[in-house]
Amino acid sequence: VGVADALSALTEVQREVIDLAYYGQLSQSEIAEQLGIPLGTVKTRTFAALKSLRAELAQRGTLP
Amino acid sequence: VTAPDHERLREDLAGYVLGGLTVDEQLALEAHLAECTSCRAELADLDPVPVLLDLAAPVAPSDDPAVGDDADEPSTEHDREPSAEPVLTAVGSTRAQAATDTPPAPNPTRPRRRGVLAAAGVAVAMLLAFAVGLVVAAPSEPAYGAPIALHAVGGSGAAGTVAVRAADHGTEVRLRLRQLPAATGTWYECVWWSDSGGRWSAGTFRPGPTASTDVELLAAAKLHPGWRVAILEHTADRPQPVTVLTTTT
Repeated sequence: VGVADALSALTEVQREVIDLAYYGQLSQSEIAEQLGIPLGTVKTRTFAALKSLRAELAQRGTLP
Repeated sequence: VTAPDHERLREDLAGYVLGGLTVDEQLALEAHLAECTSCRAELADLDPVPVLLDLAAPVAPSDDPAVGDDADEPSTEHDREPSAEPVLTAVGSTRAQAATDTPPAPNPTRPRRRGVLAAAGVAVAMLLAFAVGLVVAAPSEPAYGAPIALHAVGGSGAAGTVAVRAADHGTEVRLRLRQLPAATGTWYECVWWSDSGGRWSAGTFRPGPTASTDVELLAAAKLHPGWRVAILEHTADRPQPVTVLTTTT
């Protein structure tokens, strides 16, 4: 369904937070700690990553 | 809600659907969602994404040659299904951490958020019952069967036991492992067999900082006589996993 393609279209930074948040099941605070960046940055980055992924999936017809 | 607050809460939608907010953050966001139409629309937009992420998660190989002691077992339909859904998913662990470099087994319902909310609901119900002098008994669950020793096959020389019990939607498997190696670059996969359903892949987990780990898994299949559990060790320097522990039944 093109999910892997959509993921590969993200920037490395975006894929990183998706990987850590979803596949790694880390909390937002844990991601901040692991990456050494502020919690607010993690939230902004994760939101942007998810929005981009949503857009990529829509572009591929996986989501409306 | 001020505009900066709105934007901050809006960004929490990502952590909400992916899991990873604190309970306070979830409650604040849910209160905001109750009154913010645009955030509700955004949530509806993003909510399907995690389920699709599961589809991108690679499924562990189902006919791994590293598991040598079942070579004489007849192949089954499940063994040949490349897209067979893992029937075991990690549902809880005292010290184990999910591997960050290998996706866990597909987990379509993202139980963490729901689990936290359910736990909060249960806590509120218990407090209310306590306040009026009622005693709320926990729902009765079948006890785990007697722990069965896991037999060391190779690898790190880890040891442990496995116990199982029937659950509403399958079988719960409790692993108590010890003598585990350092977690760096190492993780384990638990594989569960049934006598009639073939071999099924479980989720992966990474041991915590200590040499002992308790892990509970949920098998989305009924327990069959003759079940077996094997734990495969994956390491960064080996392309193939190695079976380190197995039941001896």
